Amino acid sequence: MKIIKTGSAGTLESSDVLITVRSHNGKGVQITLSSTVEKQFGNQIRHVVLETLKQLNVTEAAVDVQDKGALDCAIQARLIAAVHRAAGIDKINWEEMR
Amino acid sequence: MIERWVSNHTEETIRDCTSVLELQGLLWESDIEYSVIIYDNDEGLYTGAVATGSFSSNVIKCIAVHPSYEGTGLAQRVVTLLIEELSEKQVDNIFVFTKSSNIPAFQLLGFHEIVTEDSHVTLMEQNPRGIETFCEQLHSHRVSGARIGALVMNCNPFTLGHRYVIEQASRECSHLFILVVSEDRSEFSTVERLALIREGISDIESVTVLSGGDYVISRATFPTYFLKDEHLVRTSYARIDARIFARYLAPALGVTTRFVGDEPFCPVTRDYNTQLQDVLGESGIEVTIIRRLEHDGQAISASKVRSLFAQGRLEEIAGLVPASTYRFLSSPASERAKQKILAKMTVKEQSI
Repeated sequence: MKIIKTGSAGTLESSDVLITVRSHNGKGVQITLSSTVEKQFGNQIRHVVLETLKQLNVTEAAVDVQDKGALDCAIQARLIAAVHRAAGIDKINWEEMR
Repeated sequence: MIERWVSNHTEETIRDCTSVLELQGLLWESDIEYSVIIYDNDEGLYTGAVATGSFSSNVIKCIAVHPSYEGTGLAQRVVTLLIEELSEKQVDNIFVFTKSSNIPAFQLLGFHEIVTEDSHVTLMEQNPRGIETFCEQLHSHRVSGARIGALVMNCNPFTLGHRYVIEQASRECSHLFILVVSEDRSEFSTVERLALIREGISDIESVTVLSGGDYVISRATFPTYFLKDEHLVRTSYARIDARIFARYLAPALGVTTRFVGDEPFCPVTRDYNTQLQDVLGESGIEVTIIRRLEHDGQAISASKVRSLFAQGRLEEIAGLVPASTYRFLSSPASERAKQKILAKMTVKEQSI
């Protein structure tokens, strides 16, 4: 999926995450993470983000993750929504994402 | 708690926002486009406002929480709602000007510090690589030379006065960059202003015209609701703008000299130039003041051109602007700008 604009999803409330995806053409994937549980789960969050991007076939994106202690499945869902918005796609094909 | 989203303010909604702002010693700003108000009311009524926040374009402002509700996460909630709304509008980046004591709070909300000026003003942005990306773009325009100059201009619209300043500046350096204030609150849009400058100086060599993006702060968009008096507003604005230029823009372009136009009788401009010299001096950037061009004993001003243009007195403009600007002003394409000027003039008359 190609990132063509800025898209975000999520909130800054406790147990949620706000993810903003921006174009990053020619410069691969870059993740900036700030999390209330960075020490404990920072690497796990980065892993979830990278894996989800791979599934979505996103190879170039600047991903800003503002985590307030979200579970992996919430991070995944927020990222999927943000990527689709940033790619300008309205309909999500959940089947394809399996 | 009831959350209320306001995209069209009424006297009542402004009063609710103002009531919370006042408790924190803050002011309402007239250019607000959208606000969030949170009420503490069990019956679902819009009374008892306890938190509010707003934005204008991509700048979040006028955030306040009732003192007895501080530390309850309401500010966080307000900013989240504002960010969500701004994301819907697909803005690339979100900015906030605040007191430096609020830096940690906004960092928790995902903002990153760009510059801080004393304890009075800090500018923060949501994109963690915002200013970095902009500087990378500027860097690609770099040229080598002994003395690289920069001019920051609005040119609303481009006049012979602007052209004169550019000519003088370019004569004094090997290459000159013109950074154009990018905001569409000016009567002439950013696109129109950029095009008129480029056309009007196409015969002058070694000049590059660039958009200042989000990082040349326009006086019109600088929020002042948290600053106490007019003087503090003026110096804070000048110093934060100068600080961004000195720390980010000048190094990216390799600028060694900043040129400014002189307005001998305007205290605001004189004040601005003094602050600029002070801040840029610290970074070893020279500030050179250029005397403005006079026409019939008066400095050519863009505001005079705007007023003559709006009144349809085109013949009188001919001596004040280059042929390219004149052509634009006499074409139907300038109608939008004319309506904008007329609208602003009526507002002014009404307020008098």
